[in-house]
Amino acid sequence: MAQHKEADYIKQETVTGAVPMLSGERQYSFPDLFLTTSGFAIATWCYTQGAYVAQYLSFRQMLINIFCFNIVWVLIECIPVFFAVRYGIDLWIWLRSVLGIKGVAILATAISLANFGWYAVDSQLFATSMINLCKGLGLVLDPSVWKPVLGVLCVILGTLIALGGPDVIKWTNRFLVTALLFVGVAVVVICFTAVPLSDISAIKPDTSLYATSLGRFMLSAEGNVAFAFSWSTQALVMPRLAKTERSGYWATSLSYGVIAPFFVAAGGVMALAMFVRAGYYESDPTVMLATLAGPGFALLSLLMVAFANIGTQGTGSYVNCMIVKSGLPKLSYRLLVILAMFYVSALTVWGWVMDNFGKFISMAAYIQGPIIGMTVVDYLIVKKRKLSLKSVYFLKGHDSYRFTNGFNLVGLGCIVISFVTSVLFVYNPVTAAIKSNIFMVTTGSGFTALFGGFLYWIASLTPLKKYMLRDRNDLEIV
Amino acid sequence: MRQRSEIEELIERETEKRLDVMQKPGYIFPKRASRADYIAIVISIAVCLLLIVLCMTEVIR
Repeated sequence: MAQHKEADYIKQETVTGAVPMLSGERQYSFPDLFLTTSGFAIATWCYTQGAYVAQYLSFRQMLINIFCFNIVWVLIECIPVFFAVRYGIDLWIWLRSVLGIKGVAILATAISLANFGWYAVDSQLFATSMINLCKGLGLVLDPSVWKPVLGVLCVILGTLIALGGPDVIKWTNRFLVTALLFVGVAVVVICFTAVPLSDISAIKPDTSLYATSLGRFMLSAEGNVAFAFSWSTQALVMPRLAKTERSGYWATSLSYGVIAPFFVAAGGVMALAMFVRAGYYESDPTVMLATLAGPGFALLSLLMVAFANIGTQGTGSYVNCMIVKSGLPKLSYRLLVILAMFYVSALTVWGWVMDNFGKFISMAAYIQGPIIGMTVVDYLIVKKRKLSLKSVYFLKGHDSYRFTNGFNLVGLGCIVISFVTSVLFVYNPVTAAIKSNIFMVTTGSGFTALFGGFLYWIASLTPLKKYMLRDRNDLEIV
Repeated sequence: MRQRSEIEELIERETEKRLDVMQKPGYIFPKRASRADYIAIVISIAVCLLLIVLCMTEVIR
């Protein structure tokens, strides 16, 4: 009985924890990983993002801005997926060699606490949409009572999915995402049939954001780059379940680089169509669909908003609890999921994150940016795709990654310098002030990634190399 | 406290066991990505950057 319990625990730790997953145990083929990750990527905030960009750009520029910036950065930030698949470990385990074990524990927890803010927004959007939907069907709900109730309900349903682990997530998303992809296509078709393409293309962009066309294009790009970065620290958790490097990389990249932007673009198209029809931009898909296609499409929006948000809650809870667990491996996965439920519920009821969403997300992207840059540079150039797996798990006699009391001062220094330099000299995300023309080429978030990677590479060419690469005589599994 | 220490030991033992399996010559790692994958990544990024530059220079309005 004790042995059976122990075996169950090991299985749980393998699937939901920090123990490396062997080749024969992988559950996810390309379609499974693609649908699961897409389920995570499709959420109502995609429509909010699309509606924002739509106001300031022409139709063609909007599509290029949304798809191209997302594809470029997602393809780059997902390169270490190859590593995650090969060794069955996630990004955060590998980052112990870049940031140190305590550096990972602090940053993983901080970033996950910030990431959970997305899910509070997600549940609030779910609640608002449900209230609007009921109103369209003739049932008036008091928002002061029902908004927190429906928001918390969304969190609880997502938690139930997360508690089921990867297998439940896989089967939930297999059906859910297939349906949602069809819905997304239907939404775009409805928009173009409700409003002619020529009318949508003829809309003049709002010039109040910035005087020049380039300025508006790059400020919109800043939003899309931050959007692409928001997946980065979560993107390399699921691929450890993939059966081949190719399926892991392309399933992850296509989900975040194409499917999520597709829904952003759908939000942009809907916002433009709403402007033509009603004279204002709208980001709530239930309001948009009810206006453009009539109350008969209420059910469609219900499917789109409700299922997408619940699926996102479930997968998001799983992924973010995994991130915390990689920094604090002794904590139980189930306990973390339950704690996350209370935390996200509290954020949902409080509502602060939703009110300060722009600042919150931009600052998060400024922390994630340098990590992305260093990750790619470390993987391809500094460590040349080779890591001491025994040191990264701190097995006896393998101490290459202990650094300075658990902190890699070089990696952490690169994050701090990139963050401060970008805020002071490139772009301040809190005040939205452009500080230099570098922004017009790289965007602010893009600069943090490029500069963080550059600093880390330069450090590896100095005597600091000895500090960064203590593992070269300990590469037993390659 | 005692239970936590047992769990820690269990995880460490299991990790060590798995790394030993991976170190054996017969262990088959997941199939590697091919040159075609890397070429597809580079081409996709290049095409996207070209479209972005065309928008920045207002060739695409």
